[in-house]
Amino acid sequence: MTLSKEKKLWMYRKMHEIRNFELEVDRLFKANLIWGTCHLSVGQEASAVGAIAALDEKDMITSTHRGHGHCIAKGGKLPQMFAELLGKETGYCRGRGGSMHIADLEMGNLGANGIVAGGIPIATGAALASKLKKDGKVTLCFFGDGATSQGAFHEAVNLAAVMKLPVVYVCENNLYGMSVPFKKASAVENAADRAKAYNIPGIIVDGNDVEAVYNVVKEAVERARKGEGPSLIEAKTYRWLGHSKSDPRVYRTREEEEEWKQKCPIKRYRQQLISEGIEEEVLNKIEKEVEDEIKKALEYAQNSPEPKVEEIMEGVYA
Amino acid sequence: MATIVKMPKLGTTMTEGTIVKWLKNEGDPVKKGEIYVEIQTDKVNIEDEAETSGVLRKIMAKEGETIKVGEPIAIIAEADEESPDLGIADNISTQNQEKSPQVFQQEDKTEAVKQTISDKIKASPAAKRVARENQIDLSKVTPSGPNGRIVERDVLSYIQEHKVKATPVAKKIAIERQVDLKAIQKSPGQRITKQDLEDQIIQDVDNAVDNTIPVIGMRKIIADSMTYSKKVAPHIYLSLEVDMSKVIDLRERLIPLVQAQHDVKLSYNHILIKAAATALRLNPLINSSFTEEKIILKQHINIGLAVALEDGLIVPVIKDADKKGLAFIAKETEELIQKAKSKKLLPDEYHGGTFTITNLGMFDIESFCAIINQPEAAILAVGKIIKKPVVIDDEITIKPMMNLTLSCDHRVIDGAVGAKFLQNLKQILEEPINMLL
Amino acid sequence: MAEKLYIEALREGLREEMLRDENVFIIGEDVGLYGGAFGVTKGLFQEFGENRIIDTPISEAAIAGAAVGAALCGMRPVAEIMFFDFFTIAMDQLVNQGAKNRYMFGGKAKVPMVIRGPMGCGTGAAAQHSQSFPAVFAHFPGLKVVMPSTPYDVKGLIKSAIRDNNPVVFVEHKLLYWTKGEVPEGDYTVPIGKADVKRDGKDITIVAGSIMVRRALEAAQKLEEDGIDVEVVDIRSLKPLDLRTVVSSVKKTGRVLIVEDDPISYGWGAEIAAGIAGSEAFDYLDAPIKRLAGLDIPIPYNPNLEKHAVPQVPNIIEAVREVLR
Repeated sequence: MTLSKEKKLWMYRKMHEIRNFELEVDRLFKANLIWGTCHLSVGQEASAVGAIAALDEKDMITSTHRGHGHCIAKGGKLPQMFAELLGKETGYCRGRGGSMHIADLEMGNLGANGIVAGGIPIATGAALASKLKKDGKVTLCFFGDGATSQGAFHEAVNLAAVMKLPVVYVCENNLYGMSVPFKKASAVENAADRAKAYNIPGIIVDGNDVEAVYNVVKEAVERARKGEGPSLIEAKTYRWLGHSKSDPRVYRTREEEEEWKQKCPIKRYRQQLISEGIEEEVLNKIEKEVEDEIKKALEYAQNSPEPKVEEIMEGVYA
Repeated sequence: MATIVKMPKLGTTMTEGTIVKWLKNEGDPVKKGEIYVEIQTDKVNIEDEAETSGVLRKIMAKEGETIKVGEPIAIIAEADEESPDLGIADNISTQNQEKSPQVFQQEDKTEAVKQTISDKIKASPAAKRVARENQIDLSKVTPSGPNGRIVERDVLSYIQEHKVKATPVAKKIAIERQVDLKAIQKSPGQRITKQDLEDQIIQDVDNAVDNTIPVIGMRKIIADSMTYSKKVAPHIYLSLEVDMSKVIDLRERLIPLVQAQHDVKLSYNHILIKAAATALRLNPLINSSFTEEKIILKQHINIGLAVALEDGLIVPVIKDADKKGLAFIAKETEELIQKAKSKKLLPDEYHGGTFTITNLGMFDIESFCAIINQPEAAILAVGKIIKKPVVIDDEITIKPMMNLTLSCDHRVIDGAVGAKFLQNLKQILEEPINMLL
Repeated sequence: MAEKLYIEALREGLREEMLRDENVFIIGEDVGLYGGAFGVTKGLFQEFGENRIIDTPISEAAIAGAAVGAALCGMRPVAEIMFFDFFTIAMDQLVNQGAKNRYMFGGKAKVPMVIRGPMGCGTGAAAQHSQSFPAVFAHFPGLKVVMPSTPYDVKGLIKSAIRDNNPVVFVEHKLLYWTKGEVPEGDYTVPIGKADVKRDGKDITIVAGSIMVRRALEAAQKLEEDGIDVEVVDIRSLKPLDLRTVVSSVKKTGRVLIVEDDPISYGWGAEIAAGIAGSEAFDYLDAPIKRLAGLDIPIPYNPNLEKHAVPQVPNIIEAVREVLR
């Protein structure tokens, strides 16, 4: 599949946005400006951007606790995201949700989820609605390797397979649950191998190669849109900064981390684009623009009002 | 279908009623609208009509029993009807029977009235317990808790203040002679002495032969409302004498006409009602009611007439007396008096008065001062018509004179205002033609 | 006596029970090398090895279910659920299996297991990682529910829970882990189903549980300066419930405030209030029973909103004054 230059540059830009956003969040957290915890997706930008690039704008996603990247790739607005992380009234959830619960229904983002595998049945239900409404939408369901051990995963994937629902399951396998390695949590070697149990395609892809991710997801999305049912895609990747903000990373070696940093999806893509003849200035300009964008978004969030205590009861019932 | 008959609410203030008499027995047929039970409310006896036809299958409240409004009193059903309600009725009726001994016990102690009052007093469970243990009447305790609630410390301080203190000798005598020291009234801080005790023993001996009447029902209501009126309303009294010659003349002429029309004999009271109503229209402040925030000038002129009963008195009300003719007032008044004497007044017939007339002339009383019937602002006390020598144009002549004494609530009515009303009334009675104006 | 952290006392209790009885094992997510999300099991993996400190996939239903099965076969599992909120994922195994097995098998089975985890807000973890709902489990016949508030109690109660022959829901609070208190060396137990008067007083009884006991004691100390003498009863076990201790305290003080960490509607405080109202303590009540508990909302993320979602020390002080008014 050939991609337009415009699409390639969009993917490059989005990966940058995610990287810069996450690093800024890391900085804010260390400066004690962010409450609670955060699960950062630095190192996993390609799987988020590549997969979402294969969707039409009308399509939907469900996300995970490590969901900032999915949100950004699906068109999430950086100012509202920062505002949410700072607990501000202008945030996506009016400061009620925080990092793990950002949703952007207008953009087709059905929400991050604090429960491992919690979003899988929701994505399946969204796809069921699409099938019933014949609206031609496909739902892309993100989850981690840990989620494939949840009952909810198995129940939901099985249902989608039986009903040939228009959903694509994307497992971002970053090798660890919180600390337990996938190989100790799974009797099969690859998450994609679980597809056999449900008689659906199970495809393994290099999760740090954005175009490779794009290509396999594109094929799965088309299959889903044609009514041929779900696929399970396993994007092998790595979370550079550990599970959460309180992870001492005792379960893995620094050497392993260094090895994966060498496979940085952004650096790789930059080299690929240059080798394909795109001028460095174009890429530099994008990087500069993203930096400015991040700065402005953060400024907006920091100047936003706090939620009012008098409004604490709001939003429990429709 | 079986109908569970419930204690009806027969007046705005009625919360419970006493079964005076069942006019039907269990098993008797009753027709819809037929009178089958007599119920006593706080003021009157009312005969209640059946809501439905059938057989009076079960009487659930015995004669003399007091039942809360809305609680079942009987079941009317078809003669052979099997109904789960009858089963329920059995339950309820047993419950009532179980309860009734307690009720009677309370009455034995003449605490029934006090008990109902206590129930309305806000007190914490702890306060109620301490009051019960020490036989303290909670209505005498000053609350200090939130929302006017009596709390435990209030009862404890009441007990402390009212602690019976007695000299050792007095205590010894009290034990020997079994005298309740609490029954001896002493100002706080003062000790009961041997002398107090001996006085009490003598008094107890005297009391032993006296009959007592429990202060309940109508007696209690009269006692409370009269005390209340004297407590809240500063009374002033205005008196004058009226020459009744023309009223006597008028009455003589009207008696046969009213008799023919309504078969009642026109009395001076009827004329007084009409005359007072006419005067009240000219003096709206007399026909008013005082509240802390405002004085309410009543739109309607509803005149109450005090009627003496064997065991008290009641004041039936002639509504809109200013708009009614004399003959009609006569008829209505006589009907109300008959109902009052047989305790069959309906609550609507003794509520809503705006001014009261009380006449003791038939007992040869020449003049007296009455207590205002709250929330009204004035009451007119009427004396006997007596022939007296009076001076007219420097000549002594004999005239039939009648004393009128107006008691006014000074919070509303100043002396001159009351006087003006009384003067108007005198003018009307001395020239009865004014009643037509 | 040595001062220890709540988390250390809990770990010590677990460790001593594992040494005492080889049937005891710990199962849960990241409880092994990582030492548990909050570090409760830190070091136990090194001491007891992977067969007795078992890391699982992220499968709460499987964790609870495996514990029920092992307990039925004579083991004494201690299952860790990472956040109390995730108990809902394990609900079927806990409520429909573990709680009911004995009764529906005609009284012939035993399910001696403990399932434990930290509830509560105050860490910014938002709605799905902060809720307190221990009373939910007290509603299921077959389960016992305890929620120790001090290091002393947590060690004594974890031992009682492990030795108990029934499934015990062992409720911790995240903010209690790093609180200190005196803990004796060696073996002792605290009975399940026994409340504890944590502070004697005569003016008012505060009945509290878990973190709220700490806050109630802090409030009591401040109120003491104004001459208000507060008695604090730590309910400690929700099931079985020790109403006797509560009733005798209320008979003494005549006034009662119940402080809970859970959302107020249908919370355990309602159970206590009903118990008092229906007991001999009723006649000693000198003011209406007052409840103070969390708002009926999911826990909000924003730190200020979060703080307002559950009772804090000033709220307790204010409520005491209101009851004493």
